[in-house]
Amino acid sequence: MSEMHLTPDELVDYLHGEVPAARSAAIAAHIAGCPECADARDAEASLTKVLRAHAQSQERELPPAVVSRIWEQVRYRPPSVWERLSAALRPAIAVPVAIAVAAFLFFTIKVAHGPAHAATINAAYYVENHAALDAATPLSEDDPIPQTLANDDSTR
Amino acid sequence: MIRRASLAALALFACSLTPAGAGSQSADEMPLLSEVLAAPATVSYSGVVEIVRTASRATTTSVYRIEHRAPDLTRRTYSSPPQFFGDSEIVKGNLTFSIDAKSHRIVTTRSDPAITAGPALREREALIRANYRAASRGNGTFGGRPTIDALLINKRTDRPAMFVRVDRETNIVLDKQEFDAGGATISETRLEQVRYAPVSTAIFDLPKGYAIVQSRQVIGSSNDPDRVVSNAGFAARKPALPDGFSPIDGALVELHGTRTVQLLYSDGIRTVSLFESATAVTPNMAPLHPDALDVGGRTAQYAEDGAVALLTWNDGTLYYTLVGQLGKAELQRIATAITP
Repeated sequence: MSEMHLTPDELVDYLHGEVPAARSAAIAAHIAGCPECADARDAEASLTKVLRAHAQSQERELPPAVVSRIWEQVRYRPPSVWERLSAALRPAIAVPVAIAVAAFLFFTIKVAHGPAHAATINAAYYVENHAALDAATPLSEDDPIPQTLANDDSTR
Repeated sequence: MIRRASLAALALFACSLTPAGAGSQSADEMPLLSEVLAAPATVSYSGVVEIVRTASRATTTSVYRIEHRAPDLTRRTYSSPPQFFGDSEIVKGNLTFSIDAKSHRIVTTRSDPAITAGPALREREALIRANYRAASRGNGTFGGRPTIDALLINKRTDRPAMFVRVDRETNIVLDKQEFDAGGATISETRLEQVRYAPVSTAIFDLPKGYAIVQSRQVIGSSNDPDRVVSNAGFAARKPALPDGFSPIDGALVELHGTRTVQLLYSDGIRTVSLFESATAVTPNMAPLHPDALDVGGRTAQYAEDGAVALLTWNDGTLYYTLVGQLGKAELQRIATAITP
């Protein structure tokens, strides 16, 4: 690189840190051994410095009333439909909402409608089985009517 | 119907009592207890049994003639209620034959011999001792026979649960009155016209020309409720019940095709069955005009079928039904303990 001088574009990119690290190191080494490129680098750096100073001198503060109105609009602007939907779909909200919906559906279907849809069988089956098991145990209680006689449906 | 073992067990209280010793039970009464419990195997008798049971909506009465031949033959022939007139029941050991005279059929039921064996009997005795104490009411007479009268008092509530008059000579209970938690009489069983004499074996023969059918199948029965629960095929439970009720028996049954666990609990005197199923099947309570009750924030249905009460509910996973000769408030308290 020492036999080839740096182009103005390379210098500009070098000064703005827009070249890869390896290339930047090579350019720095070249400038250290090349007085011409070092001068060009200084000139370019000086120009950059001047342009920055000029740009800073041109900056103007917005009138306070304008700033105030801008912030007011930023703060109180109603969210768009998309923004509302996006917010609702955030996991922190969407997950609990999904659980709540699932729970609602579960209890609505299984608990509220479940028993109503439960099949019913003759209550005598339960009474008869209680009497049968009770009668089989020692010290069983008295049963006024044998369930096997009370129920025509007691057999298989 | 009079159950010999039951009556004998009740008699132990009276026999172990003197007015001075009322209310106490001790370990050295165990020989007397064993003696009393052995009495049905040695005492033969006949008579007429009258049972009156009162529930909140109906009163059930029955009258039958009883013939018992020691050790294990019993026949009961019904004369009331009218629809059972002429029907009878013959018990031969662990086999029960219910004889329907009108339809000419005999329903047979076989109980598990292990359930009536000595260990089960001793467990039941222990429950009685744990939950009840006896108080002597002195000597009396019933049907012209001298009796020992006693009250069984629930230790938890300190309220009388039962009053018995026991034949002083034979230890057979001649009169038994049961009370609800408020003290009202809910049933009375009286053995009238009792005669202690040998009973011919011929009267225990089954009638000829009757169709013999089996009672509904029990898939599995065990006096080990834990085994029944573990074999249920679904996540059945064996919940702890209040008021001294302990699980004493269990069965895996099919109720109209629904696999159901039945656990029998007892406090020594009273029993209640807990039915559990994972399938949405419940007893049809509509014909019994059910009431709605709250069970741990869930709606339950309560109804009475004669002297027997039913309470059914579900916890979203299991479907429960309690059946027993207990009051509404007691069943509700038990159900709430099951699904708090």
